[in-house]
Amino acid sequence: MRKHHWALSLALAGCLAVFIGFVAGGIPRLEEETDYVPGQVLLKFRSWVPVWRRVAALSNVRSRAVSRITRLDVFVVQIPDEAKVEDMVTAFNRNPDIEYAEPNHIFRAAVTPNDIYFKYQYALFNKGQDIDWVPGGPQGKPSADIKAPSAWEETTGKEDVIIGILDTGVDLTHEDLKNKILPGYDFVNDDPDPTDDHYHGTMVAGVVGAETNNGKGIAGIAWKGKILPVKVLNDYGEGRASDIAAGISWAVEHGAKILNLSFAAPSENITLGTALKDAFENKDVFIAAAAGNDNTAVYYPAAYEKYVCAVAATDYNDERAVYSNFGYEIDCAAPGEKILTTIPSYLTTPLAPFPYGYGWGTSMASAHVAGLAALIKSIKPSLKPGQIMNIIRYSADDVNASVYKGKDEFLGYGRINMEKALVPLKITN
Amino acid sequence: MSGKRIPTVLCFMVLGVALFRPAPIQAQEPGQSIHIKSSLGVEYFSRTIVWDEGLYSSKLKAAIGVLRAELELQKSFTIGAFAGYTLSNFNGLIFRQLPFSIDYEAGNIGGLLWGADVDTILFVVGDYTIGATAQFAMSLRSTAEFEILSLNQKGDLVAKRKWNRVLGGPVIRYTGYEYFTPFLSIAYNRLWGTFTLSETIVDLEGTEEKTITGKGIVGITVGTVYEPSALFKLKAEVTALPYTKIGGGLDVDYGASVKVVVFF
Repeated sequence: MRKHHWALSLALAGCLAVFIGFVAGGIPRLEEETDYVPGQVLLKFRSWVPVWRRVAALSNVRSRAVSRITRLDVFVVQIPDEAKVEDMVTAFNRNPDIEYAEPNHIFRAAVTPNDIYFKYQYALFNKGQDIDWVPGGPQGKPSADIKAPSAWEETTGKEDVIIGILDTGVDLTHEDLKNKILPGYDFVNDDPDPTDDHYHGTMVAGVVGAETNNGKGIAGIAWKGKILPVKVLNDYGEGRASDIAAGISWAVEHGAKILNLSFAAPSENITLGTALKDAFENKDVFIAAAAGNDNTAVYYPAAYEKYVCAVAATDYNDERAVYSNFGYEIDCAAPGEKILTTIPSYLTTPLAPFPYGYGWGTSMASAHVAGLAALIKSIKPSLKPGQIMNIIRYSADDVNASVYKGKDEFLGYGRINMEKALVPLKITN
Repeated sequence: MSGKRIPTVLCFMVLGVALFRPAPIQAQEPGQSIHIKSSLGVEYFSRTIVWDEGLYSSKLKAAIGVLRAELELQKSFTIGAFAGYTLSNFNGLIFRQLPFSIDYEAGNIGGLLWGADVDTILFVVGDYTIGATAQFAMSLRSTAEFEILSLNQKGDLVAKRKWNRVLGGPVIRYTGYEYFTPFLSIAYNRLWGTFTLSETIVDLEGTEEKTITGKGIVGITVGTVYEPSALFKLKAEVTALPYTKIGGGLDVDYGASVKVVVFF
């Protein structure tokens, strides 16, 4: 060498050291968001290892204990900034003095709403809990649910997705609904007051989109979607095809992109079918309908298989509800048995002062599907209703596969799974 | 920077470096002013990329192996071209506009790569030389197929990716050692490309293309050339590329390369 340029030589040496580190995989840099605490490892020494060897084991790799879980004799170890947790764990686990080393994993709560009765909504999240607020009631089978909390991490919906509830009306003053309701219409009495004088529409509306995370009542599936109440059934829960068809057209004209039709009749009606076809084909409206509760062939409008997503009912054990209608038109199933939801405030009594109660049937099941469709529409607004229907179909869990593998006439493609429908599917090699 | 401006910048950089008249370093003997060299090089880089109009970021990790032909017109001016293969890992891209959203974690997609570079020495100050270098690399579009198995219907995914990189800037070399020539470069370093995912699940179909752009535009490279004989040299370098994270704060991406050069 002709001259000594120490500074340059040191820089060069440093550069080469880093480079060698790269090539050898020595201390690669942490680069990705991880599911563990960056720069930390949990480590347990074998009990007989003396303190000086513990200290040496850590200092040899430029690590240090930052805390200790005394009862478990586990150390929280800080590793060098540039080191990768996986590599350090591997290295520590090769040391015979160490019983085990592992990443300091991060556990995250799924989105759990604070609505006080959410714990009874097994349909949304079933961990085998009591599903009746009266002691001695049934318990569900864990995971016999539609995986709502994990799906809510992806989306809780958007306010501009309007869900038309064509039913007996909705309790417009209900504490868990009033902030979600748009001005609707009453086609039974031909006036702009769609107040529920039955109870069915309020129950359906609660499942679809009760106000959520408000510390009251129940959680709705579409937290942010707006409810458009369209009263087409009277106080006996019955409605004329003409009113229903007019209500469908009105809802579509007033911006509804999702319709829930939790009513059924065995007879086809051309006018009703035409209104549904127009909504589906010309206005890109997704339509969910109840299959019917008479353990017979699928009723209309669910039987309009081209335009309508026909929904069967399951229970808290992921089994078909015995009353659920069946047929090739069934697209999917959703929980319909003992569903806690909103009821009209006027039904409360001093002995039952809370405006919530249990509903049964494919009406409740259909409402779950309408809520899911609203969430899909909110994050993928360009999708056509047929595509939304297929997403709901293909993401369903084939819960009766042991008896009927694949699509069948009882549960269609299976019980809906919100997580699979909404959360990005991880593709690995 | 828009896609149209990048080729313009590239042209200016390459032309700028090429048109500079090389400084006469030392008297060149007739017949020794032109050399043809070939080299084998490997490179690894990890680069933060942003997508969806800068809303999200992930990493592009690429391992590259190239064969390179180099024409040394004078001791101070070299032009080269290279071709090779790259494994490019785009893990972390999330496609939310497909019918079923996809979180891509499938790892490397291999593909061909080619490029060209220019290197010149502009000034000599004592044992230091000040020059300029520019490089353009294009990883050609390549395809990989995957299956979706987590639904009740089988689905298929076709991934297509390509990326380009342009870099250039001044280089300071220290020539005071007999065998080693350490160098430092501060270079403009731009990376851009696309990753397209097509999804088919029975009758559900969708395609989503992501335009990706590398974060950071100026990298610092340090390295050395080890030249023990007139027939062989080894070049090693590491690059640090600082960038501003989404949401604020600084971070640094790294890369490294080794090149073995044989003279003919």
